[in-house]
Amino acid sequence: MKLWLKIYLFSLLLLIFTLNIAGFILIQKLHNDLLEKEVEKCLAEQKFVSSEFRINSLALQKIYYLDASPDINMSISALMSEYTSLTNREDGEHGSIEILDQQNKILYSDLKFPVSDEKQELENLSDGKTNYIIRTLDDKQYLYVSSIVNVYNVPIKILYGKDISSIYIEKMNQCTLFMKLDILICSLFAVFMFFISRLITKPINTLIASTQKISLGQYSERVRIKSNDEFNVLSNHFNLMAKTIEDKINELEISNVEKETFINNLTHELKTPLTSIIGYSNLIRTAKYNEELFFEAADYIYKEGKRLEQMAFKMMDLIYAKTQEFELTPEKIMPIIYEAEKSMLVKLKDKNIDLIIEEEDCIVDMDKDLIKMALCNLVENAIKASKNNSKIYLKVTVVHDKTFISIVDSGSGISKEHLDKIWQPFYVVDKARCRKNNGAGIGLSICKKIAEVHKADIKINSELCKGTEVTLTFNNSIAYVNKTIKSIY
Amino acid sequence: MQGGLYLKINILIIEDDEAISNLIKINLSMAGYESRQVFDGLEAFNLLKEESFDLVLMDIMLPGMDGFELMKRIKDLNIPVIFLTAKNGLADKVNGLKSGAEDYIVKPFETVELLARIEIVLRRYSKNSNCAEFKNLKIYEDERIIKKGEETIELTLKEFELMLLLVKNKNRALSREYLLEKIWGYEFMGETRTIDAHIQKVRKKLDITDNIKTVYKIGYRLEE
Repeated sequence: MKLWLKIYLFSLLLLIFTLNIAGFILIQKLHNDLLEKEVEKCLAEQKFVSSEFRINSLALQKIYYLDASPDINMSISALMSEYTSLTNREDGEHGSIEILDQQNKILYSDLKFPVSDEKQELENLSDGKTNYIIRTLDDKQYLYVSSIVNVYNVPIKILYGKDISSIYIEKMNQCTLFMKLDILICSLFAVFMFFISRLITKPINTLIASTQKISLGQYSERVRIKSNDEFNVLSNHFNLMAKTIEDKINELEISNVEKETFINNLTHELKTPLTSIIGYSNLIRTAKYNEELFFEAADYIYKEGKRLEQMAFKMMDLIYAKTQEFELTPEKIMPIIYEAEKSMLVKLKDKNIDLIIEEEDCIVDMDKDLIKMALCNLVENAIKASKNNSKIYLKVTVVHDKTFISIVDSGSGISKEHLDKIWQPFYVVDKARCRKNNGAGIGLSICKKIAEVHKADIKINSELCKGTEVTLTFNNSIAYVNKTIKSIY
Repeated sequence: MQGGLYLKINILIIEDDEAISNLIKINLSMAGYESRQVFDGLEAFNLLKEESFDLVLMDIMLPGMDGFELMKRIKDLNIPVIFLTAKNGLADKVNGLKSGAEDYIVKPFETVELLARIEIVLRRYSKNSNCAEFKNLKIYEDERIIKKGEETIELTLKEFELMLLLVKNKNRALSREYLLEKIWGYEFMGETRTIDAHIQKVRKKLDITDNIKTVYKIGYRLEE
């Protein structure tokens, strides 16, 4: 069942239930009070009649000193005529009187309405005791009050009866009125409550629609609920959640695309040397022997194999830098720079290039192996770009708490169109030159990754035919202790 | 197929990797084709405008101008193109063929496969002659006839196909498995001895016992 329907039905049922209970209790109470008053009135009237009798009989006895058997009937009729004239009877105001003897023989009666055959009210009467009963005859209610009175020492029964059906009719009228009111109120309530419950639960439907859209993949969907209640809070939180999910998904998609390009490039880079190796070895395997051809083929197989090997090493470096968790420790920078220089010596000598190091030592939080790897890659790139007998500068400068390491060459340079792409793995500017040097285009992506690990910036400035400058900037470095001490003295 | 005597088929190789380019060139020349090498897309475009070629083998990732772009520009020249690429994604394949290429070969490729595809494309363009020659033998592919001088030599269907394949891959050893697959089909579960038996018959019937060399551990090679 829907929420609005639940709210609607429950409140409606509750209203009907409580309204009716309250109404009927009220009507019943009013009726009871009315009835009680009527009964009291009737009792008083009956008492009045019976006491009249008793007083009259006592008075007559005293006056006439009568014998044991006076004529009761005479005195009764005299009394009743007096009573009747006294009360000035009007319809409904006063009840009727019936007088009976011990054997229930009617001595006097002015009852105008039917009397039931059963007369329990006349049984078990004793002196000073009054019985009353409400009896329904022919759909009308009658009240009967009876007591016993000694007249001339003869006990007679005085029965008082009154039509009280008007009270019951009144009750019925009230009930009908109440029912009408009840129906009117409930239907009004039902109509208003229908709209109110719909209005209250409307934000839920909005939320549902939004969640459905999001679950179908429209992560940019947002909930728009304008209210000042909990729905507003909920929708705000929901939107926050949706935004987080959207960001995460976009991030994942981007990284997925990156991974895909990486794998595509990797397979491409793998397949090219593999094609040569397979092709040339197959040539040797299947062709008729021809020394020149065989030498050429073997030479290609060797070179392409070397290229694969080189690429495998670089790939391992990249994967190492990408996947490992590194703990950065404060280290002096210069010893690492000299280590990197040492491992590049052979390549420097091959082209007779001078590596000029301008030093300024400081301490930087770093992973020694990674920094060495990055420096080697950058110097190697500089060597590849440089002509024979040229110079490469490696400068370390400390400004405030920042350390700059720059590698400057005066080689071939990189044109602007390539500059923003060179960080991508496998991107190479000059394919032919890259092949010759066994490059695969991974070096700079390794450097970039290493810079990321160290939260360092890496920037490249280059001008075609003039040279390239790559700068690594470390934040939060500490100037080398010795220098600090010197400056203090 | 190498109607070599009359008109050499000229193939342009556009491949930036020198090793692969040379490999293709060697294989093409062994199969009797003429070829030219270009290592750059733009250079290839300029060359194609000036000279005519019977077929172009083209890498997709090229410096200067990529393969798809080049393909678009040379479409009007109506030269059959076979893409040679390391990209083996389905989308790339579809793109390649949609752009108007005749075929699409994924690196690393087998030389025999490359040659077979080249031949199919050339046949489609009717650029290769119907008649292949070997020594004094003339092999008419469409008619399924081998003539020695003026005399027609009777061969069974399988023997004919075997000979044709050997002639097409002259100076190249063909493995028994390759021959089985090509002539008898994938489903054939025959033994490699079947090949040996057929080779014996072909040798005898055509009198070329010395020309069909048995290559140790591999298969057979037809030599002139």
